[in-house]
Amino acid sequence: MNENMENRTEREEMPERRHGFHRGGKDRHGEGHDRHHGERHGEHREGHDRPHRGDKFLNVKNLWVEYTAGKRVVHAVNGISFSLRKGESLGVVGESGCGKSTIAKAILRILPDHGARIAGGEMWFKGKNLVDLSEAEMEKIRGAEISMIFQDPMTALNPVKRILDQVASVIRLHNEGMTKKASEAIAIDMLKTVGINEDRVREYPHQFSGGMQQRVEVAIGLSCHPDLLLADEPTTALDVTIQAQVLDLIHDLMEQRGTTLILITHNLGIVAEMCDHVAVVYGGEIVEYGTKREVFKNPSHPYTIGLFGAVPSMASDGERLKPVEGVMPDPSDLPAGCKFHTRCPYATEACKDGKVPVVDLGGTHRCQCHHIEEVRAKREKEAATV
Amino acid sequence: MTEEKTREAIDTGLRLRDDIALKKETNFKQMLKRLAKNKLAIAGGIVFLILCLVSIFAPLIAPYDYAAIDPVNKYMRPCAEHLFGTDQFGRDIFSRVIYGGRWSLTLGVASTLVSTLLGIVVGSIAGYFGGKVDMVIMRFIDIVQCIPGILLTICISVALGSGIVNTVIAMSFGGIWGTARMLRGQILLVRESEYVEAAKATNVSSFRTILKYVLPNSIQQTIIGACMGIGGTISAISGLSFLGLGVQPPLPEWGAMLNDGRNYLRYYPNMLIAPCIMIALTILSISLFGDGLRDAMDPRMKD
Amino acid sequence: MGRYIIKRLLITIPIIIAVSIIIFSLLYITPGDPAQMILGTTATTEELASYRTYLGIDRPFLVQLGDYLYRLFIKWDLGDSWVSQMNIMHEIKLRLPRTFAISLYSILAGAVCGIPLGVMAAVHQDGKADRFVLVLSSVMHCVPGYVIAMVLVVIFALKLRWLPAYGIGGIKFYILPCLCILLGSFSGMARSMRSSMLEVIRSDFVMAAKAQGFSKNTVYYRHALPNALIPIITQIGGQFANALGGTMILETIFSIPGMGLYIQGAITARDVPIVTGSVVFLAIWFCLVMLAVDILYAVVDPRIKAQYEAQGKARAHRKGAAA
Repeated sequence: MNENMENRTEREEMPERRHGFHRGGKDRHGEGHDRHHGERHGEHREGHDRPHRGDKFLNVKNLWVEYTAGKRVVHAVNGISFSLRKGESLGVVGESGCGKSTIAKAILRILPDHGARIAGGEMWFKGKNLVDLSEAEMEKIRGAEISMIFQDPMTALNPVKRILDQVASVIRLHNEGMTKKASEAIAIDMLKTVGINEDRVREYPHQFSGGMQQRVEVAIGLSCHPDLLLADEPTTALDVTIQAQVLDLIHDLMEQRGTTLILITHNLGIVAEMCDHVAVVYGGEIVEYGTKREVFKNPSHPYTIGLFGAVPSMASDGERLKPVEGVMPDPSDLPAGCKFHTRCPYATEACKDGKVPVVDLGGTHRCQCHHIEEVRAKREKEAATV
Repeated sequence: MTEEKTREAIDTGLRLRDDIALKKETNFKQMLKRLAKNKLAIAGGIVFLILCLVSIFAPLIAPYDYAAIDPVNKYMRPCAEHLFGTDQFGRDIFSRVIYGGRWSLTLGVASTLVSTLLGIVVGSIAGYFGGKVDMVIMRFIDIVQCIPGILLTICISVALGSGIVNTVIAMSFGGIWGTARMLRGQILLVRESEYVEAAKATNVSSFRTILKYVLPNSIQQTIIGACMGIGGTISAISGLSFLGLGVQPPLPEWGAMLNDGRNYLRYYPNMLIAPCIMIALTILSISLFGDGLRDAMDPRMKD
Repeated sequence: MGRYIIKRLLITIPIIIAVSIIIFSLLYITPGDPAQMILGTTATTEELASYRTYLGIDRPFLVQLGDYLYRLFIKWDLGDSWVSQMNIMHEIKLRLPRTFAISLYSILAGAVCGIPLGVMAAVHQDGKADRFVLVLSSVMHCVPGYVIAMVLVVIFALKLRWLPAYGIGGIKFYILPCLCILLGSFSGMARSMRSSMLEVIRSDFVMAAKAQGFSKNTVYYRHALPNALIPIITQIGGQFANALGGTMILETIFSIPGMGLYIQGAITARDVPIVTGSVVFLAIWFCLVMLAVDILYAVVDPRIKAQYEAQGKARAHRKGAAA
């Protein structure tokens, strides 16, 4: 019986989805959502045509996050630093369990109350250090200036509230004194923009497919025109065609509004499509950082190369994929020295102890490894033989 | 189905079978490891074990016979000769409590065991065959569960008369259906999954399929449920004895002892305290162990 | 939804009939001669035989069963007690309110106190409220209810002499029995509320609500709580559905002439009409409470409502296809 239900929803929404998507495209540039907006929306109009790339806008310095479970301490994030200008986008790449989601949750300060804490570091956002802000100040920032899209849309929406309520309540929360009617009107426009027809907004999440639910998530995430959007694997739970649609949607909306994006994913293809900068994370550390061009043209950390080896490409037709050997070390029991040495083909005694230097490779490109020269030599040799 | 496809299905079936066997073994070892780390659970297990040993070796430990009447030493307060005092017939309460474990524990464990086993059988049949069989069984369960549990137990217990075996039957009858219903739900979930399909393709009989593939995957919750259930059953049996059904005097079942001492509660509370502590200790130890077992089997369920 | 309710009500009818058949058969096989029990050991064989004819228990099983079902379901007559000759319907009308009042008030009070405490325990995990809930529910789980009842009697009735130890009368008589059920249902409710709430608090949508800027209290009480309450509805329903049978021991201790004591006495006295009549009553009660729980479920959870409606539709669809 359940199956029946789902099939029905799927079939019914297919035409709408396509239709809605195009309509949304038109709407963005048309009269659309500005009709009902208060002041908040006006201030973004200048950045409408081209993202305005200002000074350092988000600056994370030496961030540490720990989880405690009983006597075990899990070191999820170990001294991560990066900075972004307004309108830029950063892709955070790594395997599951490497601490990449924790970074996003730490920025929003929504780590679980029980057992998780920011153990050190600073997070400067628009001139304020988020670590020092009170909970009340954070509440004003969350959802309005920084918002987040979660990995699994099926679980990220409240199952007992109507879609429209969920979007409208966020808008009302961040626009004091707005009437219910006005907020619902904005919400309906917002949902139209992401391709959800007005006649379905009063339905419940379970009546929507995964792709539709993720569109709702995007609508909620962008409904208050945030300056920074954190997207935590926004398309992992979706099938491939829907993935592309949702990514396009996020991309278009960001271009148009000059929103800064941190995209967390394990999919290098998505990074290539969406991001200006790349941070490769392993064991809670950024092992390689640079612009997309720098990292993709010139990957210098053995782990980054390993990740590229695990991506299917058109060029190496018929060749077997080379996954990174071994498994992520248990984050409650990380090895000393370079965290990657247990799986690294280049590992030497030096890697097993002490701090690994961060090597500057020119531009913004930096890499945390003892063996950058060897790695590069080997990679060039391989490239020559192919 | 083409020959190639059949072979493929057989291969998958065999491979999955090996995988499952391997996984089961490592899972079991890991489970034991996690259980060993849980100090409360281990303490609970040890206390329960001690209670069992005490009941088994009751004749060696108890200083008096549980039914020995001593008209001279009635209503004695706890003293050196009578550790917990004596009751209205001058029987030694300490000895009675020690012996009482024999009935309380046996009845509790046996009733739970019987009801769980029958529940597994009924649930497996309903879950595996589905269709009409399932419908009939489920409707029957619906009907039985409409009758308040304690009422049904009392009716059966009166119908069969008192005695150990009859009490076990009366007690276990009510417990079958919950287990069966839960197991059926689990089996329905597992049944749809791939490897049972694969097992079917390899031409294994349906009985063996249930036994080897379906049950091990659905039974975890059942075991946890049974373990937690022993405490509840012991409590319920003592309730039954308390109403004057189930175990009959002079057998020193703990609930029956409580019933005996009821009227002397005000002036001789020692007649009640000892059996009460024993019941509480048993239930506590089992529930600690059961909690630990649950956490060890499925670490995600921990809160 | 309406279709679903009607369907459920219709299913209740065969269930009740089946319950009465099972109970009747169970009592039929119960050893002991009711005539002997009523007339005592001094009665002569002729007296016993004529009394058996009077009660109608000398007829074959199926005839008795048929007669019983006919009287119960066609004539709506529960009959008279064999022992006291009192009308059973009248007795139930007199006793049911007492049992009903005890269970209703104590379970509602348990919910009213237990739910907030469970929520507090979950919100401040490992805090004082949390410890309290865990300790109290462990104690209540380990010590059988009647022991707690007896302890309460000793303290409040015998030592302090604040409350009567047994019997019925004014509201004072109900305080102790209610307190016993209350303690049990309260600790159970707090514990399940705690774990249900903890589970919901950890779910993605609660974190998402936090990420959207809602304050902690709004997230907990407006977003998480409605979801966490859903499983509690079943628990309250279950407690309530079973309460009428479960008060048996309590009514024995406090000598309250309610349904529990009535049935228990009847079972031991082989007073078949009382047992069957009361059990049918309790079974109807159980089915109605369970239906109410399911309807309440659909009201709070749109997913379940959709499921019910789909069930109705699927059935209608199948029928259409068959035609």
